[in-house]
Amino acid sequence: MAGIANEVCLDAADDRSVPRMINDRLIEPDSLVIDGDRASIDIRIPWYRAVPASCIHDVSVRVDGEVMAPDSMRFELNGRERQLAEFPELVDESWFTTDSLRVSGDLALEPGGEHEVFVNLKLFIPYIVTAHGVLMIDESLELTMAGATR
Amino acid sequence: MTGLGSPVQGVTLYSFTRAFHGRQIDLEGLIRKVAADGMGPGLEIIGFSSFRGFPEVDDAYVDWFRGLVDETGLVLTSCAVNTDVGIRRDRLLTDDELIAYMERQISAAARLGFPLARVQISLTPDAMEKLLPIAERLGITLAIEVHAHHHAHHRLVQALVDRYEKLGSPLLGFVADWGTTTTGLAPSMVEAYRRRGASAELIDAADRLWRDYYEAGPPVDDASHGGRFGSFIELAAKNGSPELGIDLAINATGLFGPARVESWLDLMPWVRHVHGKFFGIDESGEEPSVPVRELIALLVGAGYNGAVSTEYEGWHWNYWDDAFDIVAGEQALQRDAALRAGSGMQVDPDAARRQLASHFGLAGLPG
Repeated sequence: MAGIANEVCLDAADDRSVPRMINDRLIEPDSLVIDGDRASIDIRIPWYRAVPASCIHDVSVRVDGEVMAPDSMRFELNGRERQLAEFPELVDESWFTTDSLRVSGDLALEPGGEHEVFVNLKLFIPYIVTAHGVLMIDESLELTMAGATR
Repeated sequence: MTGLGSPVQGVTLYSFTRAFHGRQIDLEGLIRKVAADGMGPGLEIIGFSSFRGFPEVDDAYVDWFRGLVDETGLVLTSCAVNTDVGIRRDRLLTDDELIAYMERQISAAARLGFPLARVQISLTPDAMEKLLPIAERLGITLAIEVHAHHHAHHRLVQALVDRYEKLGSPLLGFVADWGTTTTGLAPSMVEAYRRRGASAELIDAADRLWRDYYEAGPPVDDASHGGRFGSFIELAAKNGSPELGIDLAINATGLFGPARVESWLDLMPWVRHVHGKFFGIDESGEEPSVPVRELIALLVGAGYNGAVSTEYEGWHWNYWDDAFDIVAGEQALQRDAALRAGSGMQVDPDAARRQLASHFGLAGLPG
């Protein structure tokens, strides 16, 4: 990037660091759905503004200690279901502030009872460039909820 | 010598991020509430926060939005746009791509009826010069936000002033953010750190370090800022909370700027809009860390007739108080401060519309 945009000075920070904002909203409460040997959970954007879908870098999900297999994961945004590898191209599509990213994948869960849901999201913040490149936030949250069955 | 100013009261919907993001109220609900509860007449909106699909907005959406604003009697003041150089995963945008990206947002802001687009200080003087013909074609003001850790006398701000003087356009200016000129860390933030495990020793040490920097004055360049940033990280590590270090450093240097209120005077000829940034209101109705009374008195004394968007940012850490009550509290403080300064905040929609049209040098503002 030549002359027209400055780096934001966050060089004392590493790329995993940002102020707390709305990371307490990362997981949509009570959004776990168990559907046979698959499950889904709704994720909320932990930022005050929409970002292009190309900024969604990685998502991992664990329920009751069981990891959702990455290869089996599908991501529903703006009414379309995709694989994670398709997101880097989506510079003209947004993840809006009030929308959920619905993540589904292989996970054999016992219906009924309470479930421990853990989510990690890695998201680029496209207007903040540090000495390490475009800022990537790395947010995790764990919530307990009952699973609905489909 | 100008007469006393009467700044236009208003609010940015950013203040209500938690309620909007939490789906407790939608954009239309927020606009109606701002009008009904007397938090206007000025209305500022962040494009990417509130407008679905921004910057692509179709004619029907524009009609709906402008109709709603007209119906409520509010007056649009500023649309905040973003310098998203990092939307691609393989590389940053080129200069030409970034100018085109900014043009789409600025054009959307103009179509939606805003007289001013807030742009970010990551844009250089060269970028502003390239964007000026776009602003002239659209009849919209472009104002770079001066926000902590920057301030009126920072090297980057001075470089922009030099270029603005050379270009001599009334459409280029600044947004003055009050977080640049604070007098201490916010009690609600300190309370949040306490709840997250910060010891009394860390809280005292952070307060002392911030006061040392306040006495020394704001950082003149980014190297100096970087040193201060690192010192807060070290402080947290030394006092038993290394996990809070980066968060504390970002907030203490990036939200609580140590510049003096008077430093705005040198920038006033270029100030086109103001962010009335604040973090909370205490039991006596005062803001403990932002000198709201002095800041309003400065604007009144300088003859400023633009808008002040009340911008509540305590929601980053304060999830226990209602943002609407807190915003109302700061606006009451602004009104009292303007009265005591011999003037008043402009709260009448029609008068505000005429006043802003004159402030922006326009024949008339929509709505």
